Amino acid sequence: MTPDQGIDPTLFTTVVEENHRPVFNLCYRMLGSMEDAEDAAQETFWKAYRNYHRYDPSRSLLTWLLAIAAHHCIDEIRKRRMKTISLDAFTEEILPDLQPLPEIQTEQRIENENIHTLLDTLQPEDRAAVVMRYWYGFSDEEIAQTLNLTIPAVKSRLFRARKQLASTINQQEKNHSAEIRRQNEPQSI
Amino acid sequence: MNHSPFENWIFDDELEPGEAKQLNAHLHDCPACKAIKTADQEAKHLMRSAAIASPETGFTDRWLLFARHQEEKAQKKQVAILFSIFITLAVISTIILITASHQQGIEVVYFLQSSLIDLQQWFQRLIITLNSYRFVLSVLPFRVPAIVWLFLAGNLGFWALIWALSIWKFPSIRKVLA
Repeated sequence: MTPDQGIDPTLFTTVVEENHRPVFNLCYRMLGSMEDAEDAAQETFWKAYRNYHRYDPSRSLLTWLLAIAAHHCIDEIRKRRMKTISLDAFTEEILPDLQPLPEIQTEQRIENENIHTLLDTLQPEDRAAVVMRYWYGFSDEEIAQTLNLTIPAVKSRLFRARKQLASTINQQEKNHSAEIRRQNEPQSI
Repeated sequence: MNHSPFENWIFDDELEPGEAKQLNAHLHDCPACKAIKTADQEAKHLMRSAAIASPETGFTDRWLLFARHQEEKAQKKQVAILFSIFITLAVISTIILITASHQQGIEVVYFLQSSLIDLQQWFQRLIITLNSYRFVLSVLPFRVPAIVWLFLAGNLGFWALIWALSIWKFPSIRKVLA
């Protein structure tokens, strides 16, 4: 399928089939729930389908799709001002086709919960840059191209995001240590 | 203990070898910065090792349904817009027909007719002006001596150079002042 084609959405289903996992993952990491990620991914492919004539074939199709998804999610976050993610949402986070064992499910749930708590402390653009760096291994140039930023701006956002993430983890560990100390105190008396 | 600039160097992947050595020495002595470094590595590991989340099976089929639904919505919206334009025009025409007298009706028709004629004349004048400019531009290069062209080109080049220099120089001056 070339950018000149694309009148019928059926022709676009190959693009959807081949790219829906990375697009969905970006939406999921950005928005924090399966339902929101599903909606955002659907919208992303719809926007891509409608604007396929604008796609430059010299660029990677996935990068172009991820750019649309990232901008859509940034807008969504700004609109909804999503602050907290309910624990109920995490029960659906497990990959349904893999059907992992219950222990693995719990581990994945906790892991996803940790990731969402961390990512939620970041600004939407910083979050998108972090997801692109750590999940897709994008270079500064690729992130800049995808998010319409300059390379120094990407470096600055990643620097700020990493500082924030480390600070949050550090704080969590301090709180955890303090909690353990508190629990141990009555026993020692 | 002074943590500056090490607390920033922890997150810098482009340190000079000398700086990296200084940072390692500081991390060896400073538990606070060491904890931040460990937290940074933990965050990286947590994200890099996390699985790619997948939607429930049948995403493409659901998208196809979504696309069809969106197309229908877009078509309905288009029809609604055209319909509302038609209704608005019909209502305005009806109001004019009902409220205006026979004489006023004729005046409205004359007004529309004269407006159309004015518009047509304006376009004709525009085309004539553009044609005359084209004629001047096609004749001018052969009538003006080459030395005048050289002078104009030189002048333009000089001002372009001044402009380029100002763009190049001003940010560095601003940086020095800051």
